[in-house]
Amino acid sequence: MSRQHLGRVALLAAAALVLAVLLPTTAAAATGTYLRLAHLSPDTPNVDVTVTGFTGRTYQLKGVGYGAVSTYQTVEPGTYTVQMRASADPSAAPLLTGTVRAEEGRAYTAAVLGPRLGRASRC
Amino acid sequence: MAVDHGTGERVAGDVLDVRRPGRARLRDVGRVGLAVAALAVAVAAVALVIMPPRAVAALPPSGPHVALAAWINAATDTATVLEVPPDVRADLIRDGVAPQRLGPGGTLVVTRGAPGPGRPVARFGDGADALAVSRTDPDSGREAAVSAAWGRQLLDNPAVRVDAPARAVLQDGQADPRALLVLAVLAAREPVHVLDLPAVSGEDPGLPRHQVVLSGLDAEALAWVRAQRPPFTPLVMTAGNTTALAWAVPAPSGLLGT
Repeated sequence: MSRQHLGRVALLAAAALVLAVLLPTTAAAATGTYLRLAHLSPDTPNVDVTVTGFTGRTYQLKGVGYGAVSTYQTVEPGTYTVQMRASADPSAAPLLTGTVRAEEGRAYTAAVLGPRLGRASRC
Repeated sequence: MAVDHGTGERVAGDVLDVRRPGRARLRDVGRVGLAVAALAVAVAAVALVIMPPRAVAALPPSGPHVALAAWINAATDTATVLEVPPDVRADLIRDGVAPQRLGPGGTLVVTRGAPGPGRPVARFGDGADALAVSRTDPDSGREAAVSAAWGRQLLDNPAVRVDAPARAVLQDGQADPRALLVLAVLAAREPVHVLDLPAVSGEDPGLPRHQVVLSGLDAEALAWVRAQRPPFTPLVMTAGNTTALAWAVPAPSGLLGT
């Protein structure tokens, strides 16, 4: 495993921790359940994020770079696992980082924050 | 072994000369040994008569610290520190537990006899000599309910086949959250057959099951499991077509989002 790969993994691990903390951040939505990703970590490379429901549904957001905020994606209500990996390393195994419980009528923003940002902000 | 360099007879004679007294000594030692053994049997018989049967039965072949040490080394993470009674510390170190794993302080507290404060984790031995393990971090009170909700969603997943004993564990919220998360991801890659979520000997029935036995996990899935980072990294054991995944005790707080 290269030093560069290890660095990516370490950055993702740091960012992933914050991601898990931020996932419950919600806003009210009239109907349906929505999820988007915000990449707010200058220390973290572009990421692919996979959210997998306990009931089997999977959604992917690929190649999200620093400063990007994806559009909201409609998801089924339920509990989801969150996995991340560096977009530049598609052969790497995505790392499991946490969960989000998506409820009907809510919109969620998953924010990736790196060490330089210091603290989490809510969306 | 004697080596003959052309003076075989002398060498052989010397060897015989040396062996004769040795055999004699051996015979003497044998006689003494037999006498000692006979005496030991006699003493043991007297002791059995003198000692009440209950006291004899209460003498364990090995103390509960042996089982506790084995459990610490097998089921807990090497970063987990345990606070133990002072008189047990030396036993555990002799039994193979690294000294730095033993407090003061720690997430897990070991007490003799009755369990300490906090949630019971495991118990080894019986009565006043038992060694009880409990965890000191607070219980949110909702963990079992959340785990049950996750477990029921997994049971609704068409890619997850669960045998009867494990089904009950999932429905009752008795599964470790790390096991649930990994099962959900594995099921998204390929159908998963859960054979069991077995209890570990000595552990409290209320402790979430942290071992999963699966059938038919392919190499790609195993590679994904092995690539995970703490706290999701399990110990992986494979035997034929069966794979067992085991996560260290205790599970970190907060994984259930409660």
